[in-house]
Amino acid sequence: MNAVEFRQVWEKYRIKFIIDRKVSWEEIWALADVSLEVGRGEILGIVGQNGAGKTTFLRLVAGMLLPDKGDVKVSGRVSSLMELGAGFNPEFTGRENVVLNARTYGIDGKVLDEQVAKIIEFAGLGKFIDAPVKYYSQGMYMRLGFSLAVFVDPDVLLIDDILSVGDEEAQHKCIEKILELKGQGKTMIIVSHDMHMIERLCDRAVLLEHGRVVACGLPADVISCYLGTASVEPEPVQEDGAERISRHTLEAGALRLFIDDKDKVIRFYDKDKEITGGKGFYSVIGALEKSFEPKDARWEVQKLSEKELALSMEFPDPLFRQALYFSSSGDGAIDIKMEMKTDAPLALVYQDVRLELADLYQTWATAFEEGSFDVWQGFDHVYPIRWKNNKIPGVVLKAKDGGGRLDVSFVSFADTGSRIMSLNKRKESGSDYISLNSSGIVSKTRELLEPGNRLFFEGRLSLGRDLQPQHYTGEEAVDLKAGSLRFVFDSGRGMIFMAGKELTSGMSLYTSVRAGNIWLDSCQALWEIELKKDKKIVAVGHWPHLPLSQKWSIEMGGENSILLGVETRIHGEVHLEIEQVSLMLPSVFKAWSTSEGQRGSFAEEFTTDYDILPYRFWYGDAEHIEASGDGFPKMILKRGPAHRFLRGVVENTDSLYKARLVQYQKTNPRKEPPGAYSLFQGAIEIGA
Amino acid sequence: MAFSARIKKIYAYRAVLWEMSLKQLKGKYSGSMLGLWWAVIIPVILAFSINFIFTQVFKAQAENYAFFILAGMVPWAFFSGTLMGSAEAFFAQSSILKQGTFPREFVVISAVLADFISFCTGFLFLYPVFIFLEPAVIHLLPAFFCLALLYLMFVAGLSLLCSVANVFFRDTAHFLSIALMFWFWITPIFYSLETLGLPWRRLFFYNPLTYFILAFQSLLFKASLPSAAVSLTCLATGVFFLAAGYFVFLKFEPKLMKRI
Repeated sequence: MNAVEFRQVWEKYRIKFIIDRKVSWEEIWALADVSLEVGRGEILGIVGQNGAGKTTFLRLVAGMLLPDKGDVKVSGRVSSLMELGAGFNPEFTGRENVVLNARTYGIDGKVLDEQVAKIIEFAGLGKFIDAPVKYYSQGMYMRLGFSLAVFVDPDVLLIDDILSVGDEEAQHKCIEKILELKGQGKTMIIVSHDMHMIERLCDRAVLLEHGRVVACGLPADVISCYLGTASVEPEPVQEDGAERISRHTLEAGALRLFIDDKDKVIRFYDKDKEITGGKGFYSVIGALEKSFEPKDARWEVQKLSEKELALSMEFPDPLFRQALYFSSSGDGAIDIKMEMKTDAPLALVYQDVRLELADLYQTWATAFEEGSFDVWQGFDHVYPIRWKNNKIPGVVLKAKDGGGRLDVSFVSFADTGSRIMSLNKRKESGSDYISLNSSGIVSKTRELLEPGNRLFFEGRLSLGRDLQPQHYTGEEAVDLKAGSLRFVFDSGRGMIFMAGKELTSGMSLYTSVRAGNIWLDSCQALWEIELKKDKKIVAVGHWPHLPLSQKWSIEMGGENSILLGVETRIHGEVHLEIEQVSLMLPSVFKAWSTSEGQRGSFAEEFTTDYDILPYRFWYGDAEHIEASGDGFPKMILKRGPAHRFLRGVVENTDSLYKARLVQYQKTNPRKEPPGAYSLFQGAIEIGA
Repeated sequence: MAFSARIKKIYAYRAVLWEMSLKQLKGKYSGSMLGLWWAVIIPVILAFSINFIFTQVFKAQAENYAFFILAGMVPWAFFSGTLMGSAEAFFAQSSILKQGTFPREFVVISAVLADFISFCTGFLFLYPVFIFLEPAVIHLLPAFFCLALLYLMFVAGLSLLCSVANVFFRDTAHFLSIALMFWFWITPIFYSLETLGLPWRRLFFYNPLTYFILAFQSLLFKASLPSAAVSLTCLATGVFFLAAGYFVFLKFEPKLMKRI
């Protein structure tokens, strides 16, 4: 004969969620397809994580809830210990409350008076029974509540994890009473997080997980099942605070490094003041459509020696490990080496190394440019500092005057063509951060990283006075010659020389792409030479931040012309708003004309804006565009007949280069799917 | 649950209902010195203050005006007090709901009963006053009991409706307090219907409370049985609201328990 029977019971709650003043309702199944039988005289224990459905189960047995689906059958009188002191009026004394609530709790009217006496005796509150319950402690409350619920003489007693509140004596008494009731053949259902109690008292146990019965059987078995799924990490060994800090610290003169593995932030200090802010020094790996940040990993710090500190970050899913080695090299400098170890092939999309500093610096300087942090244009809280040349080894940040702070220099030792530096100001909830980013350009064609160990960043952070930015270490440029005409391809930039005299300037021959309102030039891409012959080269450039690469085919077409073909290759969904092929000429060029007959001269003003529209002199359809200047041969940019969709543009550059631009542009109204197409086919002719 | 089974359960737990009502009653006045006397004092003070305003300030002419008002005021106090009090009943008593296995409507019914006891106590002291004014009133005592019973049914039903509505829309309690203010004015407590012009008089006949108040005024003040129309309407209203309230309660009972 069963005291309690559950047959395919489902119970759901409609819960209101309020996020940012928006109210939404969600239906949550507290119990799903629960079938259970509790025999008479049996003590059943229910375990599970918070929210597994234990209290809902008890409420269904108590009759407080009706099942949405399925059947609940309970035979006999039910008393529950779910909320202690239910119905107690704080103004009334313990005795009065017992008397007032006896019948409501279910105590039989006939035996009420003697039961009340027994209840008061069992509670063992002494003279406090005659004091208003508002003066009771939690434990006293529990004694009285338990006493009242137990003397109801129920057939089924439900206990929802309230025994832990009482003191030793109270708990002891309660357990004794429960065992006594068990002897009398009463059925009991106990919910507890105290595994010892469950093991001691219960005949059978049930493990609930997300509303379903996951395990049912002997208490010992069910408990080990529960603890196995609870994934409790072993308690970390507590160590002396100061000792722990020193094991996570590296000092190099005024520069100090502290690896904060509690907050998972790598911090740098200038003597006593922290110079990092926000996220500190960290890396972001983009792979498998996710981006992995240090906060997702398990950190382990090891001090290898007085001058070396190692940090290992283990990313769980998929499994790969980042190992960071910090070593103090000389006064005020710490060398950083970052390695990545993968066990399985990993499709890497990007790898950024970032240093986020507090707003303590006033100016910045690179090998080519310098400036301040007055930026107004940005979106999504990020305000980029525009650099013409991003392929630089490092940046120097100069402290604000009068702060007594040292300058900071951040340098990457990598091959300059393979990493791009950028500098942003990040504004977040009232705080400003200076964010330095060194992005590794990942070749779009070589997508899968073989398993193994590889170095992906090596650099140095140093503090000092009057630091100078490191200079550009040029890559190997490639030469093409035809008579006195010479073409030099240098990592996304094509320079033209005639009889030793440079005809182009600045970025010279280059392409650029605008996506998401940001321009990215070919000089910022990673270039590989695919083919090099005497008069022809084919190079492929991989753009950072975009799934784009371009193939340039450059061939000497004679002593006066250079044939150029540009093919756009898209590797993923992206909206390339504008694509351009441009020729930048020195400001000596004063006049221009087109094959359609338009002509004009270049103004002597150069804009300081991001978009150089104010100094656009002409745009339209033309087969070729010409520019001429004193002492220089005519420079003609020609497009092929098949590329009529290209629009010609004649304009000045901005004030950084103070040069002239002749371009062909293609606008794309919508996102292009992955694929390849020919962007430009034409030539650059050098006239008489 | 089948209706007859429910009735049986209510009967089986009747002691619990009584105990709950008593507990609520004690709880309401616990700690206060005047206790149950408030059930008498409040209507009396209200009646006399209205009387003062209308006879002295507005110079209204009515015989024994204060007692006329009183005849309607005590039932009104029961009506508004009970309704306001029971609106939050399910929330206020949520802990005891989790504890016991008694029929859940007891939570509201006990609140109503507790107020009904106050109501009866009030009349215990005021009835002699009416008898003093009009000796014939005493013969109408049986009718008074019947009316009180019907009135109880009406208020109980309405309380059930409001308290169930309040569980799903917490605003009901607030809305109720405003509605009651308005309701007071459209119930002929301190004016008699005869003094109202015809187009307005129709409005008052749509108010179910009007009929009860008229009946009370008849029995207590005019010492005559209320007209057949009024009596029958009282009967119908009482039965209708109790049935409606109970029906709504039963329909929403399962969902109700999850919201508390």
